[in-house]
Amino acid sequence: MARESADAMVNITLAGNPNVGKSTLFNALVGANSRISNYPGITADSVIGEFYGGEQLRIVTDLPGTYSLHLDLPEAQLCHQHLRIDVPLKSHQQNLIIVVIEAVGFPRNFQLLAELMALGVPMAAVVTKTAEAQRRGYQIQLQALEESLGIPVVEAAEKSAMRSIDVEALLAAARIPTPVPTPVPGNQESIEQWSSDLLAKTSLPVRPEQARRRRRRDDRLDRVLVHPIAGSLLFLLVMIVMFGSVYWMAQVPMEWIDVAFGTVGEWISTSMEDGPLRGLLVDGIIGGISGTMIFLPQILLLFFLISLLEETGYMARAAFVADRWLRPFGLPGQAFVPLLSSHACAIPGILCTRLIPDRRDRLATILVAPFLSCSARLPVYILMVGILAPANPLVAGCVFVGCYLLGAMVAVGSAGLVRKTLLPGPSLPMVLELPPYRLPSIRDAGRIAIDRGWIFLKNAGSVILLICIALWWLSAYPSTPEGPEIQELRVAAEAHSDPGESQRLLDQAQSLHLRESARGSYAGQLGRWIEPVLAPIGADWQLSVAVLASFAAREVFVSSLNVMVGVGEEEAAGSSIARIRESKRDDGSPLLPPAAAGGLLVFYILAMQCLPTLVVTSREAGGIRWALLQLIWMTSVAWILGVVARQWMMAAGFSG
Amino acid sequence: MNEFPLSDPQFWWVTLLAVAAVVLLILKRVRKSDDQDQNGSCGGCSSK
Repeated sequence: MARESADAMVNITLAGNPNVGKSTLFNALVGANSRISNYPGITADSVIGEFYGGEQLRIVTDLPGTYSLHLDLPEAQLCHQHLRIDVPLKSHQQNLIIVVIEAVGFPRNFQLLAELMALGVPMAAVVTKTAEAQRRGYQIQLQALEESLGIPVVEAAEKSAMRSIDVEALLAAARIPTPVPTPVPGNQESIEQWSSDLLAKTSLPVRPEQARRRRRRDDRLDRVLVHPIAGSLLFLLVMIVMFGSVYWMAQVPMEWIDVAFGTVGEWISTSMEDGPLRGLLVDGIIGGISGTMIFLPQILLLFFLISLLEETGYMARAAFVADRWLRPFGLPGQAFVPLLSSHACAIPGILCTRLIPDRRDRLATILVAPFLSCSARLPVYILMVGILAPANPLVAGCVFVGCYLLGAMVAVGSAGLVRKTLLPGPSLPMVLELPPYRLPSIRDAGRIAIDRGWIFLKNAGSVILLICIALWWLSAYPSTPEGPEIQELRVAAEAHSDPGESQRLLDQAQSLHLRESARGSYAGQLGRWIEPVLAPIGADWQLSVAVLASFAAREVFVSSLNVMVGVGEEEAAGSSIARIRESKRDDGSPLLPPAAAGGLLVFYILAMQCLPTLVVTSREAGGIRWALLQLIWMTSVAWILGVVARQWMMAAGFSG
Repeated sequence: MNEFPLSDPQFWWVTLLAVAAVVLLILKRVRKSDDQDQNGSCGGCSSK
């Protein structure tokens, strides 16, 4: 109880401009893994964490970045609400503000700094990116800054230096700052004078020639990277190379995982007697989990490479390139960050739309964000691309990029339609600060990739495992007694004098029995019931069950399919992908011929198969009708384009 | 005619496991829908 008393608690608020390193400091303080990046707008809401300093509980609030508390923007209003209303309400507790000041673009921090200093709350400052500022030709005089502001100031030359800040000393030294001219909107003269005095006292030029050379290099790079045509082509090339290399590099570790699961499955098969428990273990649990785990290397590699690209500062340039493509469809430039976030998961993407000031722009972005390919779709893409472009990493890379492009194109097309019909009106222009180019940190990118991989694994170990167990039961029961055709085969096998031929007949009888059992099971009955709806996109009853099982969570498709074909097959045929590839339909034709794989791939790119996203849409858009609209629109578009893709591929000569 | 191997104890074990899986799944999904926070993801995706 003593720990939670008011005296033993400190409320720490982290405030600053966008993309100055608040979330990095937050993570360093509370040991969390809030998402950080090298472009502004990642923190859309305040994030709260806590840590203990001795017996004292410290509650840390990481505010979204803003240039002033008085801007007519959601993030500024949120900061204003927290600092002008919430903090004074907690005046019986200890409150202090840590202002994060970026040395690059130093004067841009002054407006917010003055507003924070006028609050009369004890403060401390962390100056970030000082090494980058020196490379750009100026040095921040920390001692002079400390004296001018009247608060303790520490430096974090690089991002990695955040973790070595002596937080205890900084908190102990925090004090109410020297009074500054009260910042009143509309009366900026006194603030401007104060700012120019502060700049003159605290910033010194260093190595001007080197800084000029660097600026020239950055400008030259920017001219190419944000060029309307060259920038767009380069973006496409970068994506093709990235996905191609992910596909190519992951092949070896994927084989290792496959062999490992295959060995465990075989060991259980040989050491356990045939029966329901062995079936559940081998086909349900191992078959299902290996169907997901096998994609771990590709997911790790993809997130590693994306993190490297983000850190270089390239993704912010890509935002500018994308803005030119988004604008004609009525999406604001601010929609880029939410849409980019949706490539990891639509939920943080939808929550990021809080930064979009206009309600119509925001609603349009929420409605189309789930069209962007999230990481849960990756296993389906990898499986289908493997069928469409086997053993050709370059073609596979292009098909992969095509998946992402199709999602993005349908998203902007749908946004254009929504903005013209349901939500008409103009969009606001985009203002985005281009971050400096940086050498990416392999360690940070590795850490992010491992974090994402771990979440993927946890998911495979929980939701997917549970669905696989339930689906295995539904695929195994009720069991079907052997029909006359199977009994005849068995009698013929017993009567045959040739042992080889006898075994072949027995195998045939067993295979027929398993297939009939799977067809007669609850899952089989359900699959055959919905098969007419999904047949036009190329699904038979087995694929229909997998599609249905993945309707609330699309990531279970491959695992479900593995369980289905595992129950219906006599023996696990090597790798889980190979097993699906070699599986047959009831008529003996391949389960996934190329045209059906194409149709299903298009369906999975575009369909709304994520219950939590619908819940968040309903909450953020302010009504269940928007979630229903999203569900109906996305599923209809997915089905129609899936049918079109399959028919087009069949017309082009692919089997389907 | 379809059948269940009611006399096989293994059948009851796998049925029990399947029922437990469905209950856990429902509880897990309900909890996720309830407490999506701003740093969360849908559970299937790997964003933080």
